[in-house]
Amino acid sequence: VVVNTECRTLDPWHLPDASFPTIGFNPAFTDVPEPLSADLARIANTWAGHLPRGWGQVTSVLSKLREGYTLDRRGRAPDGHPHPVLWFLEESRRGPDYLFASAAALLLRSLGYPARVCLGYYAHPDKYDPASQHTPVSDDDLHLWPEVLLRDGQWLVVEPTPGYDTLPALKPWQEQLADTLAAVGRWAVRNAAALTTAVMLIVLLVASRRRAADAVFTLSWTLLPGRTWRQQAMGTVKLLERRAALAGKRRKPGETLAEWVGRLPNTDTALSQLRALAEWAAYAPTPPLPEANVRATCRHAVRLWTCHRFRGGVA
Amino acid sequence: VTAVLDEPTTSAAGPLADLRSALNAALRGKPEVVERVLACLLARGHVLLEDKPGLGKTTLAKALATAVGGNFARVQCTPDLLPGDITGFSVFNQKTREFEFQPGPVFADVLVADEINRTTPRTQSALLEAMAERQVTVDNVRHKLHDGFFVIATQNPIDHHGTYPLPEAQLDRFAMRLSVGYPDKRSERALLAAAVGKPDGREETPRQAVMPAVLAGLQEQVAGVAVAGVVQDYLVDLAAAVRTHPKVPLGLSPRGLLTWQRVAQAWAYLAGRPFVTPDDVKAVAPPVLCVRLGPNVPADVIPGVLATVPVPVYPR
Repeated sequence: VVVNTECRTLDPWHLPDASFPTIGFNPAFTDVPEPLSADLARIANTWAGHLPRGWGQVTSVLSKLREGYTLDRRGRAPDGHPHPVLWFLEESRRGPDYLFASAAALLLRSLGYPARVCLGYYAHPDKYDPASQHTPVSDDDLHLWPEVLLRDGQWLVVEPTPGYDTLPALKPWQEQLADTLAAVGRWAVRNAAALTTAVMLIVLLVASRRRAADAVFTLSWTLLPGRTWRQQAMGTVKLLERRAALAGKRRKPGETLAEWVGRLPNTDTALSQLRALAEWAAYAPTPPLPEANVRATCRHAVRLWTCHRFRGGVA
Repeated sequence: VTAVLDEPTTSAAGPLADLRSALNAALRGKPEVVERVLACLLARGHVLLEDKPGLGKTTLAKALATAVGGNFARVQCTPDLLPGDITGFSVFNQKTREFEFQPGPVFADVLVADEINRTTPRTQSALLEAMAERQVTVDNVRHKLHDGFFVIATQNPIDHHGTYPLPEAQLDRFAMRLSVGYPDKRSERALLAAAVGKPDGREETPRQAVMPAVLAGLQEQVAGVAVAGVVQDYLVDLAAAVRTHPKVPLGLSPRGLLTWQRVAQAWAYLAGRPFVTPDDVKAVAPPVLCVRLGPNVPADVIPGVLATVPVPVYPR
């Protein structure tokens, strides 16, 4: 069965204190069983009595339950116990959701807020199916929660049971951003050590990435220099082109070697000689000079033209 | 190692240096124009000099004609010039009772066609066969021209009144179009100094720098300059890029591509290199392309194409 519901949401913190009525409602919603009233009033005053009337008091009660009590679906009061709610609040501090809902409603009633307990299905956010835009519910999703009456006659859903949440109000983007930043900040503080280590590692990697890449390229050039003089010359040009790219002086596709060498800062004869050698290797049918000299020219250029030199530094 | 790999230079002595020196003496302060004219000459291409009056177009043409030796002919193009005035014509010999062919100026080694756009298209087209095939046909008889036949044409791009723009087919027969441009201050100062003491204001008589046979030898060497497969691929890629460029009305013809390669060979030879590099191709691209891409091509088209087509740096 597909049930479509439409929920209105609000942010209770934006409610004025006068939203919670003191008169003009059915007094049955503030009834507290006589045997429990003293204990409940004591607990309620301890938890929220010091706060002004309004959402601050309500949320204080809810927070105490959510943070100080444990949800235990199979927990139940000992047989014959006259007041399961008191047993839950003062002894076991754990129990199923109906005890959370009952305790919250009774405590809020003790503080003068008209409240009731409702039964229904909880649409768990984890079960939401984006494809069908439905949330399937089953018997396991039966849930009890309290509601507080507002001055305009609307019932405000509240949630004292840990693991369950009310539908949050849609916030303006500024508040969402602030919430996100605050959450990130809290996460960063909690994981400060790991975060610092990770940042340092990343900075180290970024700072040394050119050096590491250059080391790999140079090692490759050293181990595989090329068998022929052409391969040696072109391999050296390729190595220097890679170094230049690491230094941000990459040769443009439409640029010849001579144009590229010409626009490099502090260009010198070592690079010009390698450029001439590379032109022989690429375009000439015959070698220009003995192979030994090719190797010497290549080594000389590789030694002088480091990444630092390509960035404009001095050799 | 240094001696071999340092920037190659052509030898300071020798026929090429003499030719260069003679042209630089005639056209002061324009070594880059002289270098391109030399490349054109060595590539056996014809050159079109286009610029404002008084910038030395005719002076350069005359100096070149004299420097390369051989026969020199000059035609001052006017609207009443007839094709026969260029190619030659047959006259009846009263004594022999036969028609005899009187060769026109195209039978010279170097023909200077001054203000070529002032003559009619009919006369201009008479140059077509001569420029492209180095031969002329008169009265159904084919006459072969000299092997080193070289046309230097000049035209003034400003004064359009009474001119006939050269048709694209004829423009394609020129290897390149050059603008001389104004000389720099130092060269103009030297020009003024050299004119003092010469009452008629005449320039120095150009001198012959090379013999025609030597020039033919140089042209043969240029034709032998190696062009690697990757450079030829580069030329083809450039031609394709030019043809598909949206702002180019007239694509580069295969004849134009051949000319481009020949001029690039000459450019490499002038740099003292026995092989062509993409730099040579790029260096000669503007004068070679601007003459054959059609009218009103924006100035940024050729540099744009040269900057975008990938240069082959590594051999296959």
